[in-house]
Amino acid sequence: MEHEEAIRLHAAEGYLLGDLTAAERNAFEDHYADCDTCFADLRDGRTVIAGVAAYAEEERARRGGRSWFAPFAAAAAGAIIVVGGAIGYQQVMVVNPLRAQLTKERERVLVLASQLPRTTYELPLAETRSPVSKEMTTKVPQGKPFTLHLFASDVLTPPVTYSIVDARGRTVYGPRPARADGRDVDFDVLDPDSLPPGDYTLTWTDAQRSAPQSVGFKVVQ
Amino acid sequence: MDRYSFDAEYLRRLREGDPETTAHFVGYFTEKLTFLLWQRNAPKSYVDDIIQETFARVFVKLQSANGILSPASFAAFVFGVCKNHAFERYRDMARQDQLDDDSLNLPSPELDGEQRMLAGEKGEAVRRTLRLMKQREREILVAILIDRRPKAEVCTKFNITRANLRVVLHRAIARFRFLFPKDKR
Repeated sequence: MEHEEAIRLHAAEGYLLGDLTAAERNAFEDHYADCDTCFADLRDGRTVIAGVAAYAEEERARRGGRSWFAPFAAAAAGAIIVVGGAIGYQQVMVVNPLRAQLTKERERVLVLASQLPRTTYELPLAETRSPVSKEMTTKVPQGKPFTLHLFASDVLTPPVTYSIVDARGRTVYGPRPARADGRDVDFDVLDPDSLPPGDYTLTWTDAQRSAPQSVGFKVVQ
Repeated sequence: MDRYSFDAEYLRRLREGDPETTAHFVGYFTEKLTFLLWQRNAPKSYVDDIIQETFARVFVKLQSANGILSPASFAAFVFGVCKNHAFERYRDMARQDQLDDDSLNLPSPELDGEQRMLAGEKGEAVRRTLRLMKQREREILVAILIDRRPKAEVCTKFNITRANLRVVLHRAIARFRFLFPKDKR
């Protein structure tokens, strides 16, 4: 396995997670035998995993042995109730016959939508050292509000603004303010109707940078 | 990329018992082979034995008439010797399944003393890394690495792709490095 391929596949992470095929695993082992960069990834990954093990023990002690699935199920049930309520509310807005008021109500719906729990999709890191491969491209199902989360290569200085551009280069969403906290940035897409299935580019800037940064993602049916 | 280049001159010095080269060889490969065996679920009690036997076999090969034909592939050769010896050990003990190439088992979460303690600045950096992670990301890693949930099931529950599983860990490693850079180590 060549180094570029190991980076592209996130092979070190796949190796630690037991997520490589037997052939990939053997090839990656032959590679990290003399690649200190990849071995450093493995060493640091193992340290993080040790931390995860310690964290899990502490969490179990705190929760008294509750299943990992329980809080997730409760959150999912809550989300279903809230989303159901919001859909009913949106129906009321749609029947309003006045176009001007409809525009105003649409803004209100967006505000409401911003308060709903949304599925978060992870973007590949901006610091990825080679072009993002097809299999690493983030895929988002069409038709529901969502959040794209990025762990940026540097700390971002608010305000961070973002736009979404389609494959033809047209801005279809934004510019809007993102939620930035250090290197963590959340890009909310509250109006999914503006993104039919296709390839898109998310572009963002912060107060420190004049040149925008960007990453691609895909909306799928 | 930081890659160690093994060449014919290195192998000559090793074959002739140059103390500095021998010390480098042992130091370089002990950590990597320990990691390899940990990742391949080798019981801790056998790790030292397997590594010592690997070194012995490599030295025998170095001294043999046909020697090592491709110095550039020396590191992969050492790994191959180690894996072969580990297979033999487990076959002899009817435990071949632990090193079966077709299995994709996760390594044991059993960690050595240093890893378990996570002391000092390094430990604090790991704890901060975990605190800074989203709850959801921590739960994904716990589900895979600690609870050993099937990956497909975890992906469905958390609505992520298999490729994104790797990104979650990649991001955690990147955070850890940000909080605990090389010059602090």
